[in-house]
Amino acid sequence: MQLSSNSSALRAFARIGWRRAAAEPLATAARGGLNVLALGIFWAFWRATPLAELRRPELTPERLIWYLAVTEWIVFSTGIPYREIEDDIRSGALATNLTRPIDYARACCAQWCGGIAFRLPIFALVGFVAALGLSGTVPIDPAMLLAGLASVLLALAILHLCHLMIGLATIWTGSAAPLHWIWQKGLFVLGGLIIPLSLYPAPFRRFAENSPFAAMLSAPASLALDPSPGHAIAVLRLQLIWLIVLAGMAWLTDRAAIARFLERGT
Amino acid sequence: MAAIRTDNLTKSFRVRQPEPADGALLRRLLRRAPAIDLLAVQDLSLQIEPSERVAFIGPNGAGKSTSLKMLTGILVPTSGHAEVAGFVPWRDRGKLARHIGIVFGQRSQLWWQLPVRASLDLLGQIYDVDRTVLRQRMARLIDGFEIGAFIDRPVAQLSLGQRLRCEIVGALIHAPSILLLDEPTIGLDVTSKALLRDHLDGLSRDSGTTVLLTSHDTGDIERICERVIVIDHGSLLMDLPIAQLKRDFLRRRTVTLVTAQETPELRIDGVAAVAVEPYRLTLSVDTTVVPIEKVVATALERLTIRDLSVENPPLEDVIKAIYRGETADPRASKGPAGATQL
Repeated sequence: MQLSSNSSALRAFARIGWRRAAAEPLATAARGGLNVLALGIFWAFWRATPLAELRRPELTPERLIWYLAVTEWIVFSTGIPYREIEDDIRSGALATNLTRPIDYARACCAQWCGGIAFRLPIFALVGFVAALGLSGTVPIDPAMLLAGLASVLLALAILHLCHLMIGLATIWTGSAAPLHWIWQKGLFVLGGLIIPLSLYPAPFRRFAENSPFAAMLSAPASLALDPSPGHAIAVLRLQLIWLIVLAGMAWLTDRAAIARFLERGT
Repeated sequence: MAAIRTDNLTKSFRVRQPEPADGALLRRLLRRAPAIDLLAVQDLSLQIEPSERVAFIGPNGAGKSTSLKMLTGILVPTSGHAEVAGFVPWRDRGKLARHIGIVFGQRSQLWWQLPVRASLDLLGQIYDVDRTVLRQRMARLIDGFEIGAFIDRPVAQLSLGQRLRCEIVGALIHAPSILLLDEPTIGLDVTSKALLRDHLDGLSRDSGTTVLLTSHDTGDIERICERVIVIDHGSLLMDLPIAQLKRDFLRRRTVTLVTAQETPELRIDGVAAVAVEPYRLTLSVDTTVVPIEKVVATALERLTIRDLSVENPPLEDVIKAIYRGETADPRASKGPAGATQL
């Protein structure tokens, strides 16, 4: 009974996430436009860059634009969900949410799943059509598409666990923005948002490739540069490890944050 | 079994006193300010039976909201015990949620971007209400609270009064046995307040729902509740039937008449003129001597009325009177024009 009640509630929250995302067509259109603009700029940039001098056959403008299409797909499909938790905490809406028969963190995750289910196909369509139009090719074996999709979903799960922790940190810090700012810069630099980590100097590359930031962006996007089964397995293994570690951290953060809220009332 | 029972419920908050601003910056950064315990609720013991409609009143900072938060399980007490619908709130929050409905007047549980109907439907799913039952219940509540005209509009487009009616419907969607209302009429105009009070009164009478209401508005308390619990400084000050509160502390009403006559005059037993101005007469009415309806009817009969308002005594004045241990005598005190003192 409890299980079916929870699944019914989780489905309801997922539906809320979908409907809220669908209720913002202008924001979705603006993000889509920005996505295409970024791809256009970097297509011109990579074509003007003498990549052949690097003597790395996988780094062609065609593959690099698909790398960017994947990282942008993940970033635009995510949005800034930590803000919802921050708003709930700062406005006192968390108290209302805690009076419902479902765990707050699970409700947030279900709601985010609904939002992703709405945005993911839209931004896939926008980004991939743009990348295909610019490069005229799809640099991944159709047989590897499933591994690529699994990797993107794992990346989104890891990203949202980070957003959950950043949002809940508001209970201690009063504002999650500074923490998000630091995390976002880490994602930009160590996650390889635009430039693949394989272009980094060796010591930085090793550090970045094993960081959770790589598991969120660079790892799934790197399948556009190296679509071999061996690399796909390595990518999925890295992501699974970080998913387990970050899920544990998110669970502990959630417990500590809610306990503090219940003790202090704010 | 009592619907709500608390035994010596106590809550204190540890807060740090701010350092004086004239101290050295480094010292202020390095040294933690001394902590003090602020007592919000102290040894609160009360019992509310099923179907009772109780007002929980007190001035700002009295501990009402803190108590309500503990009763809903979103605040853990420092000591003491409480049971709501047979559950210890802070231990069984999830289970308790299915038995209580909560309305915070200043917070929304509905989704602003979504139409009201969608919000209610989603709430029904969150509480796992059977689809057929949900449809029937929604139809009854939509009808009962008269929200059908705007049920398909997004919550963000509703007026405060419309939204609060929808909030209450949302709180009742899972048919809770206990309804907790925290300032449900705050910010509403007179008409919306009256409408909401009528709906709440009808609902609690018809369904036997236990109601615990906090409000600053004595009108809410009079219209909806049958018992009043007064707290101040976190402690129980008084627990009495509404009839006694009315008789002892809510007997005076202020009636303001705007008239066509330049020097209006009205002589009725139990009515004292508080202020006489050109075209305006402010009266203090002792409702134990003469009902307010009779005063209004007499005024309409003898004067040409252009505007009329009836005001309840402010809750703060009621609390002050309770502290003074006095019952209100309409001839004992006269406040400034338009104001009512006990």
